[in-house]
Amino acid sequence: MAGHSQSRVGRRRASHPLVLTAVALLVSACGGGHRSGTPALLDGAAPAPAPRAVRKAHPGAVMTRVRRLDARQAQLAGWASCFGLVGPMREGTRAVERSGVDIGSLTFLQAGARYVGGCTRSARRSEGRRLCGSASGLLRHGRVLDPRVTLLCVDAGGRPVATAWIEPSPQARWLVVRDLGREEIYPVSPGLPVRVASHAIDTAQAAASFAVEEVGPDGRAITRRLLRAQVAG
Amino acid sequence: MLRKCAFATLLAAVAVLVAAVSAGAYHTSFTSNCNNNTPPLITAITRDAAITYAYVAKNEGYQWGGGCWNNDDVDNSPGDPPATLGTNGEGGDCSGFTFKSWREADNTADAGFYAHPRWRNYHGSYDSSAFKAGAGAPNVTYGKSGLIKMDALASSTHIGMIYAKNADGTDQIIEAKGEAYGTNIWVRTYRGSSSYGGVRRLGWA
Repeated sequence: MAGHSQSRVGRRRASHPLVLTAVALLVSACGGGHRSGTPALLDGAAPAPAPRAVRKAHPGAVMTRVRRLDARQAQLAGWASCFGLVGPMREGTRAVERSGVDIGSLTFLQAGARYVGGCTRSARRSEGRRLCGSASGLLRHGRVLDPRVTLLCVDAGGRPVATAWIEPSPQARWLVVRDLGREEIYPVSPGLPVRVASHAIDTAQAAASFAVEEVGPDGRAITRRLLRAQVAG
Repeated sequence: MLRKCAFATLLAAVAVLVAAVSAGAYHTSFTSNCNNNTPPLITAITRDAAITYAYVAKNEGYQWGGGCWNNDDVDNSPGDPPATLGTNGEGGDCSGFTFKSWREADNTADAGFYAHPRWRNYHGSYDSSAFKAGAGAPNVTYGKSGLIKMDALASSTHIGMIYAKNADGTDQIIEAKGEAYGTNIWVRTYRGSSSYGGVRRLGWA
């Protein structure tokens, strides 16, 4: 049945070259080269397929990219000015670079290990600067006390985007963040909070909301919460 | 026996009272007196006018993410836990205090001056790290040697405004320092610290 259906479609396509042209135009306009409807990541790469465990409960969610870097690699990756803003990395540690649809971020343990530091960047330069946000968060018992929300980044379309650190629970393997009807999957990196993005900004309160689900190794939701974070300090 | 019992009762009552006072220290709900009314646009003010405004907050409290204070020279909500939102205490934090003293706009693309009443409980969109980067239309980074009164020195975790320069190279800084300190003027060496950068609000009259 399925084969029959496919062959019928094939005959139609062959007999209507105008339809073929229209389809090709549509694919290229919608970002051809990636899976249909899946946006590219900020670094230009196509997102990796979502892990099977997460895919079942979150079909269509975009897998963000994460990689660990040493200080030199981070500088080569364009984060040198971040260390000028928030201070150097703690020796012997590695930074975590993330690339999502709208936001790229770097998070690292600062020298002295009392603070976690980091920066964010987006597709559009903010007031001529490569970085659109920076933050230092005080640690208590290894966890950041405040999410250190920033509201000053904009996405490729010019809409403001907030970012904040989420401290995952020890069992969490991924965070799934819902934003603008889309879901992004952030792999958890042990020992550091995860910088996530959201368009849900409340300018009147200098605050933003983040709809976050923590997902365990088996793909089951551990927690679902709406984190509201306000600019402070 | 009766005396011993009365003494023990008294001790217990004092203990309960002390516990209640310390536990309730950050439940003052000071912010119930505050509002978040939209501030009106005003013509550019002078640096001295900004000093006068900031000086009112001297001896008042400190609230993480806060922005509302009175003028009674008392921290009305002492002992709040650090870096904790929603404790409803008196005062701005370092960046909220700077934002209001510099009369900045809620919209970061707007470099105009706005009249924030001290009762307005609004922090603004900048934390100290954003100020340090010179983010927002009214703000720029500035060489530390050229900073004058009501310019600021900012690190990634703190910001204070220059109240006066001292002859020995230190500065009198007006700042919302922390829950344990409140808001006041202290002599600081931020200008000589590599963690701190200079920031200037543009457009003063």
